[in-house]
Amino acid sequence: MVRSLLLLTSLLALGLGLAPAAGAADLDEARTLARRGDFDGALTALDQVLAAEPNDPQARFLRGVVLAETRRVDEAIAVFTGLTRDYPELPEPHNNLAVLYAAEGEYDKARDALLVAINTHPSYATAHENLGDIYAKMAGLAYDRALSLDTANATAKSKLALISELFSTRAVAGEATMVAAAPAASPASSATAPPAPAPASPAPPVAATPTPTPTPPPISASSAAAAAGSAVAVPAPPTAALAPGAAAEAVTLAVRDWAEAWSGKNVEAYLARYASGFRPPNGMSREAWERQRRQRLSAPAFIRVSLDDVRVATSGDAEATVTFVQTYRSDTYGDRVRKRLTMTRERGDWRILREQSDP
Amino acid sequence: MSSPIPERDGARRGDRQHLLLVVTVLVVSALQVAWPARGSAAPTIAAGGPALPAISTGPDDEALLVEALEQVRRGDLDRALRDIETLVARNPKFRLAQLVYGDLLLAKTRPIGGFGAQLADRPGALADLRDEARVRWRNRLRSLDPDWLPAPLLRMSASQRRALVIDVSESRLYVFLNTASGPRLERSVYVSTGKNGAHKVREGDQRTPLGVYFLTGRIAPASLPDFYGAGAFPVNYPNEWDVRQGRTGYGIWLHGVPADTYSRPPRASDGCMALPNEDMSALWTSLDADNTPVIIAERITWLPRAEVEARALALEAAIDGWRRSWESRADGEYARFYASDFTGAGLGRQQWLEHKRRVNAGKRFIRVALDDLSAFEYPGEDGLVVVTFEQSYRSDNFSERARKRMYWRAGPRGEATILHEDAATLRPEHLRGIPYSARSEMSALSR
Repeated sequence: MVRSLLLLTSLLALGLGLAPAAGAADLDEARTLARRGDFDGALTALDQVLAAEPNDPQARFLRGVVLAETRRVDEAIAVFTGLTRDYPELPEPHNNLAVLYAAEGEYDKARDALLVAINTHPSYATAHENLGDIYAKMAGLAYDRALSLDTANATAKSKLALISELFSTRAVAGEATMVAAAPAASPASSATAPPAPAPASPAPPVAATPTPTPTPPPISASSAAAAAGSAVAVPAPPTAALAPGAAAEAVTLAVRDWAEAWSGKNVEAYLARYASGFRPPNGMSREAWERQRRQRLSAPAFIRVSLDDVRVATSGDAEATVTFVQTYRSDTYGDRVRKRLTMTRERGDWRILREQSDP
Repeated sequence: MSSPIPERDGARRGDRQHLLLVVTVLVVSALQVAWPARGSAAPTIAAGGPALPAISTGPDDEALLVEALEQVRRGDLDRALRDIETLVARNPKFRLAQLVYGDLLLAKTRPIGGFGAQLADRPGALADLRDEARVRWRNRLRSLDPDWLPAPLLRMSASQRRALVIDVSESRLYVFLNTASGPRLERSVYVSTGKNGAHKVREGDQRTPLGVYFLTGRIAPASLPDFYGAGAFPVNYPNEWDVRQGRTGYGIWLHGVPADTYSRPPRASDGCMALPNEDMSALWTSLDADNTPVIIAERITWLPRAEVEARALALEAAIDGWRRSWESRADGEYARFYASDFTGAGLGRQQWLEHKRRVNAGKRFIRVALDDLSAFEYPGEDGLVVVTFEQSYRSDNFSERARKRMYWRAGPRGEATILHEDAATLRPEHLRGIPYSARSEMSALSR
């Protein structure tokens, strides 16, 4: 939720006399369906609204959002492009176009769209934030090229996952969104740290050092949603998604420790969260993977990881699956992915056995 | 989203000063090095119908990069960003431009920690790019006065169309065109040299040799791996002086760069000189692989054209004295020109002089004419000059025409002695590492 490209889910009527037409009830219904994830239903409802009122901007806008959500990116782009043509003074369609372009890796177009949005509404905060993100992504690409890294496949394409995030039901407010707050390693995490020798590194852990970068105060999901205002118009229904029992709670804490260690650039605490049986992705050796992680944690000036929509499913005492939407931000890179951690109990604590990102 | 995040706000206020500071540092470090910048006029190439085509010039990417940096220095970040965007669009492999582009973009979102600070985790790569920025920036500060020449460039021969002069400390290759009014700077090109610097002594020391060399041929890109880019011109390392000094190694080439980059860092090669492929292609058709001197200096000394000419005339007078002493068959006069540590044709001074005495004894006359003479001071060797010419020798019973090379040592009072004299030929080392397909063109020094 924090600073990633924000796709707007509804159009503020901004005093343009865009009074909702006859099909207001249908539009509300479509919105409800979309929020529930019934995108087919939402599209059907929207088609009805648009059949009666083909130019209804709210309906067209929501249709664009639903198309984007269902990965019909070209159609979504067409819808928002149409809206920018018919309502050039509205910033939201420009913003959403930018988000879609960015997801396609077309940062130049994304930037231009945002500049138009800002031009029409100079105080438009969302576009400013998104523009900053676009610049950061473009900078990241430029740095990769400066180093001649292969950016062809691993481009910092922002994931459209953020859209599904906007619609997904959240876990218990306050529990779900974890904006990592420095200082990193809490006493709790060091208490649970195993007595086993630390991973081979002669350097002392930098656990107690507070990160030098200023960190924002933790934002709870509810306050974030409330503060979102124009950015996210879909209120998050408070649906409890946590598995019952103490195990689920312990798992959640372990995952939070992991995210905080990551955000605090606390390499040792971060690596300690991985089980001995952890299999690195892509057939990488554990050693190579640890080296890569060390490098990636220490390189950026700051890292911020936040988790939304955390869900825990335990199966027995020793294994659990946690899914969430992870927003990663650093000074050079940002993305949002849906992640699945398979956790196992080892040496008295929950540790990560597998880490998978859903595309 | 409505709660501002500290970095971002800081960035909006601070980025301008910050980038300003960064580039200022760059400029200051550039200025710390003494540089003989004088005048401002770009040299004009005299129209004289050279046999080889003029070097084609594409868009000047370095100029655009430096222009963008200059805009940063002036505080016009938006214009800098526009310039650099134009540059990376047309030359995406220009890594240094990408770095500056990244910095300028990031400066729009937050304060950046310095030039390329985002690459702090890659200190080697960052240092390389910083060095490249420094030498490219410094090059633009310079405006070369056409009335000044590199001191080594004493005399180009009539048949030499171009001479290359490399300043290793500045990562710069200067192409001089031979005109009716003397050498004129035609183009200056960024060049990468040896990882470990200059003054090659030993095989594998990854240094670029310093001295007076000549191209020995050309190797088309088709016969080379991608690493060498748009082609290669080998040079005659080790030359006569290197051999005399016991220096080892081989395979010093002027060549391009791999396809995945526009340029390599200033110090990157195993001793070769690596040019951007665009420059290599431009030189490909313009350089005479048979007859182009390559003078490599740690740091070029620039002198007024008139002073270089005066030195050349003094040397030519000495050479003519030697020629006349040979014609006169006056043994003592001739011997006076040969230094005590002279070597030539595998002989020492005494053997050489005895041989000449024997040959001269039966002659009634000797006529020696020297044509197409070139003379280049040997960088880093005080007073040493490499002289090459076509020698026409005629006597009552024998005549010969040959390409000769001499190493003269000019003393402080104008006296000059000969340290080495031999036919100018290729040595076996000069063929090592050269693909067989290209050897037929390795004719340069043996004609």
